[in-house]
Amino acid sequence: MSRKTLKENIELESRVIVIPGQKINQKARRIDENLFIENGEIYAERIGLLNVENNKVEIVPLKGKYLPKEGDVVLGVIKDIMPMTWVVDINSPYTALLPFSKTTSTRNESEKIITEKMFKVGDLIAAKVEIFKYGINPILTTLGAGLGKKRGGRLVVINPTKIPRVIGRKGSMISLIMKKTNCEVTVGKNGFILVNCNDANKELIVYEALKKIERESHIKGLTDRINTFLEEKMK
Amino acid sequence: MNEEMSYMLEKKPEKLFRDDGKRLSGRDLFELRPIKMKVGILENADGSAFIEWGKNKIIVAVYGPREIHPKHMAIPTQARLRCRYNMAAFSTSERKKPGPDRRSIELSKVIREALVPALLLEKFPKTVIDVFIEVLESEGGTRVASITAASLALADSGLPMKDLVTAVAAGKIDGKIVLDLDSAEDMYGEADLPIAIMPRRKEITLIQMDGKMTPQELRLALGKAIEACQQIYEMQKRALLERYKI
Repeated sequence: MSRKTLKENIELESRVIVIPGQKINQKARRIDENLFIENGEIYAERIGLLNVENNKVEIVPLKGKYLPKEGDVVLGVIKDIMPMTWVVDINSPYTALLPFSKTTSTRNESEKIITEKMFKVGDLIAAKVEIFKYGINPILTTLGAGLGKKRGGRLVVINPTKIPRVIGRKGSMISLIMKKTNCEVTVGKNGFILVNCNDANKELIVYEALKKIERESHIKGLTDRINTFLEEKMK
Repeated sequence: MNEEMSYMLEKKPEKLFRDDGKRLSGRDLFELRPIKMKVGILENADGSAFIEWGKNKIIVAVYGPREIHPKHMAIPTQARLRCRYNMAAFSTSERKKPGPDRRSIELSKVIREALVPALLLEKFPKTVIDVFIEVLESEGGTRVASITAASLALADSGLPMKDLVTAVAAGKIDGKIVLDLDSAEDMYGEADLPIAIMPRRKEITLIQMDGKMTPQELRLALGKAIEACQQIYEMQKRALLERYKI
């Protein structure tokens, strides 16, 4: 690390790592939630990569917890069964709730039987965050295509801030992994990833690739490195 | 810092300065002990840091924000910060009785209060952020080293912060104002003034004093301590950037 980058008052380039409290010498119209303004100057709030694009300054965080956002598709593990509601661990500071009414539109059996039969403690589900407001537990729904109980496979947990890199630009990274290994990979926005292969060794390779992405996501040329990594391993 | 550490030195030194004007440790008046910082040393913690400040060795681990238990501890508008300062049984020359005692409970509190102003706790209502500080080896000035390392661990965990927190102690030994007291100077000196600041705006988040100083001496000690904090802040920045070196 050269001394120059440590100086605060140099012109910051794009893709530079910033730390909390660091002054950003940029004039921008819009800033994202990881920056704040004090006395007309922009300061970083979190550790991350600085990204400057026409009039917008943003920080791509390197670490952090998952905060639910309405509309996110997440993977969760059933933790507890309450009357008419499941308690779901979604790898977040807030435990999610999945009410019975958000799981099915049919009502044949008695509701009590269904809540016990449908999902058991330990089941993995894909769900969508339907409601999340400041300070209340997020409400999930499994009504929708591809949502609901997931069977088989290996659950990989990575830092949720790295999920955009796992998906890649327009899904390039995830389709690369799926094409090279012939595995089915389901990505939850909360950092839970379900890898489903017919071969345990392949699952391990995908696991290693995902961990590599988590570790090296801030270094340039990630897609190429993952490509060579997968090609080497799949031989 | 108090009687619990008094067994660290067998006998009281006659003078705290050598004949050539330097301190017993060979340092000048305003010279800090060598400081080493490393960020991200623990795999399972959300954020972690290790600091070696002279002979002090301290590990800090941050977990959170996470769900709070018991539930009634939750604050509806913001996250709760919990700090636990603990000295290992082998951290002093005579075995320390393990577990929290009067001193470590107080230090946990002052460290918590020194860190809170830098954090944006209102972004995570009803949750808790746990900071565990484990002192592996101590040589005086563990509270300032702990604060410095804890703010690094908090930043490493990806929590939003307005600034880092940097701390250093000033003091008075044998009638002279010095910086960064070690255990002998702390025990047999005349005054001890640990401070913590947020370096960007020079806001003081912790100030304690033990002993006596004149107002002029206090002003000098404070000024020197704030100057030293800037120096430590640069080290903190370097340690954080080192973690994600490209």
